[in-house]
Amino acid sequence: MTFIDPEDLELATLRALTGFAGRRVVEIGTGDGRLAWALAAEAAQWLALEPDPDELGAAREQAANRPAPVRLLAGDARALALPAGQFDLAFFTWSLC
Amino acid sequence: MGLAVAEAYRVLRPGGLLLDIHPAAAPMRLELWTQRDRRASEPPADPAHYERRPLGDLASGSSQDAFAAATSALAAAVRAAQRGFQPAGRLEFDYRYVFDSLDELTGYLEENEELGLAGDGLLEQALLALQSALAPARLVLIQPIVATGLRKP
Repeated sequence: MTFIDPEDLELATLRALTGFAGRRVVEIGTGDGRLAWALAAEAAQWLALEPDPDELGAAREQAANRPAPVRLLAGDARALALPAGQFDLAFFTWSLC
Repeated sequence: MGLAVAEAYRVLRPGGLLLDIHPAAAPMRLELWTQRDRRASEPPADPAHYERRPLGDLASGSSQDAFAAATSALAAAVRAAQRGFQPAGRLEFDYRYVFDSLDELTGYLEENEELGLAGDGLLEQALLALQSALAPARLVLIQPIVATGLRKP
């Protein structure tokens, strides 16, 4: 199976809705980090949360080879009691369903 | 789910944005993509290089219910009388999963517990379409995706 997105429709769509440059981002449900790796280099801070140990493991394996500074944490936003009013962007990636 | 949205509201600064991406509730569609240039040595990546023929929709399953619920949660976050978000954009696009054979497609669907959503009639039609294609052809599963922005006032 191949995933075809030659126009980078996904990233273009997200960028059409908001800029990521200089933003403090919390990503809820980062999975294997696919979107984090593509976007985090633009952000000032990227905190990626993932409750699934397998997905988090996959993200951590990839993190070593990625230049983007992503802080990976196990769990969801509620369990981590993140500070109020500290983020410019709360990014849900398939995690509301 | 509502709790997750409320937590996002809490951690965002005023003016901050909730950005969500998830599949739309619409069912996935199956298409046959036939190369326009049958001499191409490699399958082209650009969709413009294919003739697209719709084969049909997969049935809706429990995933569609979950996707619809996610959309409803975002709508509820806008309707909330207090601490409500303001709409800040909504865009749609498609994920496109490409398969070289019917076996590859059914294997993918089985792995994702979605084989039951593709009826026998649709799979038979896909096989016939592949076999009768006059140029190299592939099966493409189309999943509509919606991206939504909500602004914290």
